[in-house]
Amino acid sequence: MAKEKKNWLEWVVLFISGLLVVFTLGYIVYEIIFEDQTSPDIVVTYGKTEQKSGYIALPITATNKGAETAEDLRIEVTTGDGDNKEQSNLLFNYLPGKSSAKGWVTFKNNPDPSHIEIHVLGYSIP
Amino acid sequence: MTDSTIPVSDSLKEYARGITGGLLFSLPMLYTMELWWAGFIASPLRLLIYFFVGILLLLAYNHYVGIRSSHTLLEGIAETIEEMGMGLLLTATVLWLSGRITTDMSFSEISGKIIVEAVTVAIGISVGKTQLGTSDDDEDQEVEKREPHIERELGIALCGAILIASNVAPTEEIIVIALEIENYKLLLIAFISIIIGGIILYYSNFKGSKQWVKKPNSQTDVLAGTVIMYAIALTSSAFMLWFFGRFNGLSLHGIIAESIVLGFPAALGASAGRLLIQS
Repeated sequence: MAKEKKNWLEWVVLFISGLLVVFTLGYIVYEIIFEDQTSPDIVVTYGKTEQKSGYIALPITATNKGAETAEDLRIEVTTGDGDNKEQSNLLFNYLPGKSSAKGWVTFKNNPDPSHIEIHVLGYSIP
Repeated sequence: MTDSTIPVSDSLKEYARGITGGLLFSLPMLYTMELWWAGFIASPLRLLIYFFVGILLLLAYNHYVGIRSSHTLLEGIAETIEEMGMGLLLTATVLWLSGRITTDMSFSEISGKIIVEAVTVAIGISVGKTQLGTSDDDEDQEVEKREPHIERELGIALCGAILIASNVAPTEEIIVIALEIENYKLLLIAFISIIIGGIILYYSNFKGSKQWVKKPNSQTDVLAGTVIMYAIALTSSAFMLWFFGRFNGLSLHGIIAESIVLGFPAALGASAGRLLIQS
């Protein structure tokens, strides 16, 4: 049987595939060598409250600065003090390393922005 | 020779079959949550090992079954790279379409998700290219009546086991079954896996079994072939479970139970799957 030569399309596909495979391998090797497998480190920020139907919602962004994934991440938000104190909490199923996730916590009363306290309650390592 | 270049239309058809095969075997995986999670839970070292094993399996498959009958080692490698590349691209496309990768994810999360799924997709692509076409060139098949030998069978059985069992390997269900099952049922599952595998390979006239299973000379040969098949099923199950982090913190009993539970579909892959992807 005659040896079959690749046509231009096959060369193009091979070239792109080669780039993808080399890049993928290169990236994992880079991660192994240069990125420490640090445990989760959760930083939480919040935005401006919004009036919803019958409650006030506060947008939350949780960012995991560590490399490992945090599972069942629970965040508690407390507003006001004394009689006006209100607590709300939020659960993220997964927060992968170096990633962020968004969510909302809700309150009955509009919280005073200077009295918002955020507490990362805990998470497990999958 | 002027007509020795493959027509572009042939390559296009080949790619179309490859993409079909990739989707056919791995769309269930691409739609499974545990696999998306595995992408960011697995450490880079595990990802690298998994990716390498995937490439080795593809190399073995392309070498022994591959679409080009007369190929050199270099062509086999090129074929493998092509399929892995297409696998990565196809996986990325489906994950993007289904909203599983978005721009606000970190690069390591995206790449992890893609790598975890791309290995099975790439094997599917390879199988699709070789097996899903109508054989216009039947004479090829006749020319290359390759003898079944042990390395070839091991390699292809591993491909079959991974192709079939990786769809369920990462799911919660395997753990639930393994941890709740009574011991005698576990034993029964192992027994049934072995019997079904043996029947497929040696008794039921399964498609390709005449050509690809070495003719047994005695009962011992049948027993040996069946045991090897089941060993491959258990090994590949254990490897996949380890990769998907299903062994973490588990007792030896749990590890073995999980391997046997996943070993059932893997045994089907190592027997029926193995014959189907090379017939």
